Amino acid sequence: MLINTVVLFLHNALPIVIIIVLLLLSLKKAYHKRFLKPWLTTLFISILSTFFLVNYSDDIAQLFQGMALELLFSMVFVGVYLLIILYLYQIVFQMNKQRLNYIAMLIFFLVFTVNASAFFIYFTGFWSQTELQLPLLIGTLLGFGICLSIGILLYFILLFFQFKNQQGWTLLLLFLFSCGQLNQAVNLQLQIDFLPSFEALWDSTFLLNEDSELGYFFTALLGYEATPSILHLGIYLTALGIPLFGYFYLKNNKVVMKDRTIK
Amino acid sequence: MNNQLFTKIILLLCLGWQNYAWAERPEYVLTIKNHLFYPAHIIIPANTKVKFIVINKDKTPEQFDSFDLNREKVIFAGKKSTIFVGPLSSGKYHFSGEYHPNTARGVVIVKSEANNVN
Repeated sequence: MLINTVVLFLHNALPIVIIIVLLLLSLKKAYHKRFLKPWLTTLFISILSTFFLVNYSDDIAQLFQGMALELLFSMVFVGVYLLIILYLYQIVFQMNKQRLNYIAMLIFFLVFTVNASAFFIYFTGFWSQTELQLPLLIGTLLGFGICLSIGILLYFILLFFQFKNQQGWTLLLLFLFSCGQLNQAVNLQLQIDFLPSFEALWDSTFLLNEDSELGYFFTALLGYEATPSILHLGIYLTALGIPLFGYFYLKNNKVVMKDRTIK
Repeated sequence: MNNQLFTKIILLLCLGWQNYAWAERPEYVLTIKNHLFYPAHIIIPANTKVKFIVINKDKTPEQFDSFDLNREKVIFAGKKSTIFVGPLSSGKYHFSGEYHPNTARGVVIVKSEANNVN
């Protein structure tokens, strides 16, 4: 139970840690003291909505022939992708800082709620068994420690690149993270038969096993799939291509955003 | 005229998708009891998408998890859920209960001519 709790915590908390690191680094120039209160409110709402979801997830899961959670979560993942693209456009084209903070809050809220609820469904499911409470708590603490270490390491690696005026790495990782979210939406849609399945194009398990610590990290960071189908690849490349096309189109046409001022 | 044609195309695509999404799939029932899967081995036909109805008879939730099948779904205590799998080529695909990985284990055996073991 102890090891299992650590593994599950890592599996679910890594996307939260990664998005916090990426948002912290990309928001550095746009952050101001006046955003502290909205950020704390977002955290509070995220925790509340997580508990709401954990409490009602078994009822929600029975809706739409048992497909409701997949539908809900896949919509959230698509939403996170779209919001991150919007967020990146805001950064690249230097738009309104207030808007940038609000989009970041929304991204954090969605990523936190979906992933934290997945862990707490497990946690609360076993909490009623007294003999399991101690391993659950210790496992959670150990998982938290490991996630914190990974987060700090990632933060300082990316900060090192920022000192060398290479903020591009943070934005690139954020972009790839968003495409990874779409991959998760595809997996959920395949699970409920809303999308057609295809044979895997390759199997890179021998290089990087998805069911390993490093595998969890790269799945959370980039949406790594050891056995992707043509559908995964197509959607991933489209998710990469369209925003890039939009970026170069706007850049080449020298689109000037109206509100560049800091409000 | 162009708008009408566009609407027709969208409607046709929606109908095609709806037919695909609600097509009948071979069903297999998988039960979780005392943190074990029954049956632990399921034989399914190759190159066919199938529907697993997973029933959790335990008092705790379980997560059907399989990296081989690329599936992950929580089955709440006393509830049942549906997971679609395939089409797969012949071979063995392992799955487990992520909350009890040491006991809840099973294998999907994909054969060219399958016999339903249920």
